[in-house]
Amino acid sequence: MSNDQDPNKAVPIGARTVLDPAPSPLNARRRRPLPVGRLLRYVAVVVVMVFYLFPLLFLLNTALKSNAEFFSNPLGMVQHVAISNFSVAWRQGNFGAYMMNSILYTMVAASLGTVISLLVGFPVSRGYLKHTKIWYGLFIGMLFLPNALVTQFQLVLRMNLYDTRLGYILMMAAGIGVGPLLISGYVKSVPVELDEAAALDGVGYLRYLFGFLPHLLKPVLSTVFILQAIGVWNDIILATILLPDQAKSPVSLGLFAFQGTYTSQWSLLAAATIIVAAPLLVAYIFLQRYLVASVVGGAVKG
Amino acid sequence: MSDYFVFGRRSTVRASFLVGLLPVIAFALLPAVAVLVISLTDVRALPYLPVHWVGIENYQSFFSAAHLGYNVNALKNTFIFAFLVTVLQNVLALLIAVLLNQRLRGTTFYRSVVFLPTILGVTVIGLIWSLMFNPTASPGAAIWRWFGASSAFFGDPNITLYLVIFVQVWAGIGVAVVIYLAGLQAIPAELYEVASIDGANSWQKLRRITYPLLGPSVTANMLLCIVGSLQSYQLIYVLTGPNNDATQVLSLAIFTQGFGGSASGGAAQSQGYAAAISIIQFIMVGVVSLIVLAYLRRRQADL
Amino acid sequence: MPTKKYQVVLAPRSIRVLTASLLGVALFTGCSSGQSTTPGAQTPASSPKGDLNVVVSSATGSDAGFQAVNKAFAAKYPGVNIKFTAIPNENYAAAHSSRLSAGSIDVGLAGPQELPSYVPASNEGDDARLADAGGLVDLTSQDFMKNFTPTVLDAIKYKGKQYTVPTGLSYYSGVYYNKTIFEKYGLKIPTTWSEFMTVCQTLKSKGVVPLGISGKDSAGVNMLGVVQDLYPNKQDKVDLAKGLWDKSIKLTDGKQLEVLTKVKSLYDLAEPNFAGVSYNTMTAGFVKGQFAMMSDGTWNQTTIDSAGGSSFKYGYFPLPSSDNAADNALLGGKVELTLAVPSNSKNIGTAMAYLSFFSQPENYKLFLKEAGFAPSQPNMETTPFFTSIAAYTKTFQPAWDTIWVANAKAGAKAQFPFNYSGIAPLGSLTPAQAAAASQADWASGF
Repeated sequence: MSNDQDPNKAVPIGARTVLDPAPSPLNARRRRPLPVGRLLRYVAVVVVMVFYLFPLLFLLNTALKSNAEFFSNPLGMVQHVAISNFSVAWRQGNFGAYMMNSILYTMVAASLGTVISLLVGFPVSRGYLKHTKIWYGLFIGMLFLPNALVTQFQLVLRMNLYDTRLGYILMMAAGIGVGPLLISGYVKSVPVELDEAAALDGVGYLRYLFGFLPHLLKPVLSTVFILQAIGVWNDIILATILLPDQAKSPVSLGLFAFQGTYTSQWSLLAAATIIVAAPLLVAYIFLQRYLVASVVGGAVKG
Repeated sequence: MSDYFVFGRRSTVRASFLVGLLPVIAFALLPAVAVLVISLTDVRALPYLPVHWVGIENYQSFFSAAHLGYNVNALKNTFIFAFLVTVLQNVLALLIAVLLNQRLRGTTFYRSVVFLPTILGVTVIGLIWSLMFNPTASPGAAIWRWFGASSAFFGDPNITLYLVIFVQVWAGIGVAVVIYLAGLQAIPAELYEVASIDGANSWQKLRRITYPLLGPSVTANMLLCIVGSLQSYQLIYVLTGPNNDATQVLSLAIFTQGFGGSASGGAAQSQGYAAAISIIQFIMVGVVSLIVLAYLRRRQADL
Repeated sequence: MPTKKYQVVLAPRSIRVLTASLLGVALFTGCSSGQSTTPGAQTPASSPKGDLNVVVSSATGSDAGFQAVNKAFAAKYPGVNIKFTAIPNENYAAAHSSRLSAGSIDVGLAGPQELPSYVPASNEGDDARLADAGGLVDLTSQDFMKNFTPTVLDAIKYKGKQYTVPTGLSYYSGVYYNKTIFEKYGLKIPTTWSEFMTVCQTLKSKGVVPLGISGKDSAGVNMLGVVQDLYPNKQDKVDLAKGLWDKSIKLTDGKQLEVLTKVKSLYDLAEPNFAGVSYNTMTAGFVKGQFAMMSDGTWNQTTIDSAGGSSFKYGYFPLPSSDNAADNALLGGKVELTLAVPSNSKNIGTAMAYLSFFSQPENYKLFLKEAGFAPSQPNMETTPFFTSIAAYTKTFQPAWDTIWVANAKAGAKAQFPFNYSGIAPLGSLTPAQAAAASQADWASGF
């Protein structure tokens, strides 16, 4: 075990630090000569990866089996790859339409929600309205609202928005959760002088809010958008209640209904799940850096 | 509030604020208030039926000897679920974040993998784990067999709640890891170096540097997690259905009572009754959150 | 240099709040739409058209049956757009009640049950309340009702009126058995409980799982099967219900406790970990020969047929829970899915035309062929399966769940009221403890 006798980094001999600091400009990337500790860390990482990747791989494995093979050999590797389940699932499951529905609902509702959060969060944070404390209280209170399934249903019904995409989207858009709070927090890091400077330049409030600010607020706006999008994407219960027409189902409900119909045909179910998950995975591979950075950027400062 | 408004007339900001607030009021606040109102009636889930004002009868019914068993069970499950999910999710996420914060190869990849369940959606996750824990033949069954046992997994009332908690934690760690990782990376490396020089070991570094500096985001995360998991039910719905006693949480009870009654929840009660459950849950969440918030704030102040 | 701006004052917040709340209240109470009663459009439309929403609960057999009828209906009346929805059981209650409230069901399921005299009115089921409030279209005077067997119609009458169309009958107090396995070990159909236990012990000693149960979603059929023969006649069951309601008998007494002990015996004979097994999985397992018998209902027969193919030989016999062979002679059943037209349907004429079409013998035949129900119309040819159990069905015996009315004020464990789901491994209690628990819950409802 060698010592780095670099005067810039006097690490005591034999120090085993499990917590190594993140790379910083001060210490160059050196080969850390701590085999055991490092090995342990890699082992831990591998364990975590197994927990996360194995279920997905097992799903894929199951989907590739024919129904008969799954019965005879549920656990082993697939012997005869059969893709018939995929075509059956696609045909019976109508997943393309469900995906389009989900994408529509998520994009529109999360966008609306983000706009609302901005409209509401910014002025309160800057104190441009009276009763700032009350509005803050409202934002916090909104996290705690009672479960209002029954009355939300009645409301949508009486507004004649039952079984309409619009009604569902509006209902999901209103679930802004922590959005205003996150934006309020983040806005504090934007200096007030910017507002003043813009005003002096003759920029109106709305133009400032929607033209200039989003660029500065990009991280937190992405966070708010993504958090709400996750909520809309995962919704089943409200979709069950508000959208009886199967053609309008989001993919979460569509897959659930498919499971209800084909309960014990695991290969088929697995194939259907892969059909639903695959485009998400592909999109994720491309967007993951951006997604993760967004969650980080907005949340830490907010 | 500032004395002057740089952008001129306040009417613009007031109007835009209202426009933003209006859908929230209409679709979120109004129904929430209305829940309180209908909890005092016996409205049912069907048309044509007359509605009567019944005062606190629904609340009395909730605490009556007949329903108390079922409701206490739901309360108990809700608390166990929320507590275990919050603790496990945050502790594991913190540990994983610390782990990933090392200069290991491929950290970005690991982070993406851990975050993956978040985008898959609750139905996909539910299906994956139903497959993994299929009592007849599955990896879960295989692991149990190593220990010489076999189990009905989601059918076994003794362990199904913990299985559901496991899946919820699995699904939820991703977001927490990402947030903690960001927080960790905001901690200056010099602090650790100084500590190393002073001879601190890893555990001490974790306790004295990492945890205190991460404090605010831990607080926020825990609180959000508690509030969220006290009200969460979509994953439970997918994994065990709405009628399973062992995994009955309050939110599911509201759903089944309000929209058709359940096999095990007794004969269908009215939607007024479901609304009463909503309000009780609301009060409970509020109380618990205040307690947790006070506790966490005090811990932070102590540091 | 910012100048002091005049402040335009919008309406004071208090007024805004007031208006908002008034608006909200108005929304909820005032404008209730869709509650109009259609003026006398109570006859089947001669030329049906428009959208027809048919909403039923999903089961493989009946789904196929409805599809067949829908196809024929659409062929005959091309102007109608049939939207058929079969909702899986788990979602059914929620989806059904929300759609009904919204008036988006034209033909749906309903089963209004008349309350016996000893049950207080507050325990009326939702469908009964609906019928009382005029929410279901009265079908009594319709011509097409005459096509059905009078005794069946009597069984579903509600306060002297017919609100529903019976799609068939099902029996479910029995078990399917694998003929090949029985022949292999020289077993005969048991007619008493001790014979049944002997058969099961023999199977067990040969390493065969005697009974398949799906604990996840349909374990109740075991309880109903046991109850059927311990209280053989309708009157016995009525007496049981009445005795419980007027508290003259308890769930922990003799025969009531026996129900639970025998249910526990059935659990002990079932496949391992049956608590997590779903209905479809159990069926698939039975067809694969994983167990010798399966407690189930006759509605599943068409599925077993198509899954097993012609080489799979099976039969059906009543679960003999009594030691007296005479008690075990008949199967208990119910009138299956009963179709009704909600009054808030937007297309009553077409809905009635659909029911009329359904009730014509040639169309009903299409349904029966797929559904696997026993016919609710006279002079229908029966399938080989139903011929094979004709001896058990020569007199129609209503099953326990068609007679029993639960007390809405009582605790959840007293709903059936036998607490079969509390017994291990579905729950964690012994039969005696389960009985005591349900008795406590029952008593708390008074």
